[in-house]
Amino acid sequence: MGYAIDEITEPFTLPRAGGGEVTIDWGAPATVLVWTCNHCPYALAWHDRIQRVIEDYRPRGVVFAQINANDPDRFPVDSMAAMEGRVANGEFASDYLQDAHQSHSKRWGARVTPDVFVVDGEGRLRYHGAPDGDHTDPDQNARYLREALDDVLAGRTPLRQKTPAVGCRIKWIVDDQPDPHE
Amino acid sequence: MSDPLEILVLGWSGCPTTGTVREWIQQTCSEAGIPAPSVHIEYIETDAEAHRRGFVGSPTFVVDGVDLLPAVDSPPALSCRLYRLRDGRPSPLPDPADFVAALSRRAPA
Repeated sequence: MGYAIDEITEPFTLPRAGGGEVTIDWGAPATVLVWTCNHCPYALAWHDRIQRVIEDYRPRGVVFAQINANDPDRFPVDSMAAMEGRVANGEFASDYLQDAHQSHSKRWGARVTPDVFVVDGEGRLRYHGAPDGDHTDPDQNARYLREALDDVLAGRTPLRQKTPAVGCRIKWIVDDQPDPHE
Repeated sequence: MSDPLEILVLGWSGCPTTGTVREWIQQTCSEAGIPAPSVHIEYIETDAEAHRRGFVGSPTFVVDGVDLLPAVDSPPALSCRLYRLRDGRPSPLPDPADFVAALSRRAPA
């Protein structure tokens, strides 16, 4: 059912839009993983806010990756070629990775887009949930994510460690996942 | 007095908006000062059904068999529907002003 809060997570490697592979490990003081995609209105509504977080926190040593796990056969708009098109268009402030086999997404417990995970320098999951409380309000400015990062970087336990992730259900290769809204 | 307009909402359970769309329609119509339509929600839950019905995402609003806000270049898919607000922002629901305008065009005289 995915990693629990404060559980130690395992490093993993995924192909990157634009070529090559990226290994996600825990060498940074904090790492942020955002499951996202190319077509979900929730992911797109939060997209710019998340890119601003990347620009603001990368100078503080935080590592970011955005991951697309949707089945590209069912959703060609989420193919690697389409991902590369968005990267070439300058839409991503971090690496954009594809989990085509979906095994890492299931291991992490990602269920919707966007789904945000913050990991500390020891590999411990410190936050899981939404970027903020309202996809319709840009002034929310990914507040949940920023607060979790501020706490992790300061060596504190985030005040808010889990929030309901709101978005489009990930498009599984075999749609055997539970409804996240039940 | 004419019967209220009937609106069919095609939805998918994997999209959170589907569970609140009835309230959104009522609130949007109330704020615009127009009568709320009668709402019927029909769920589409398989790729095959989405393709068969030309379903381009949840929610899709249908009046008299016609998509109230026709999508451009959107292939059938079991997904949340991408709308654009009037300021260009992506949204899982239409701009209320666009929805009200489209509904008013379909309302019985």
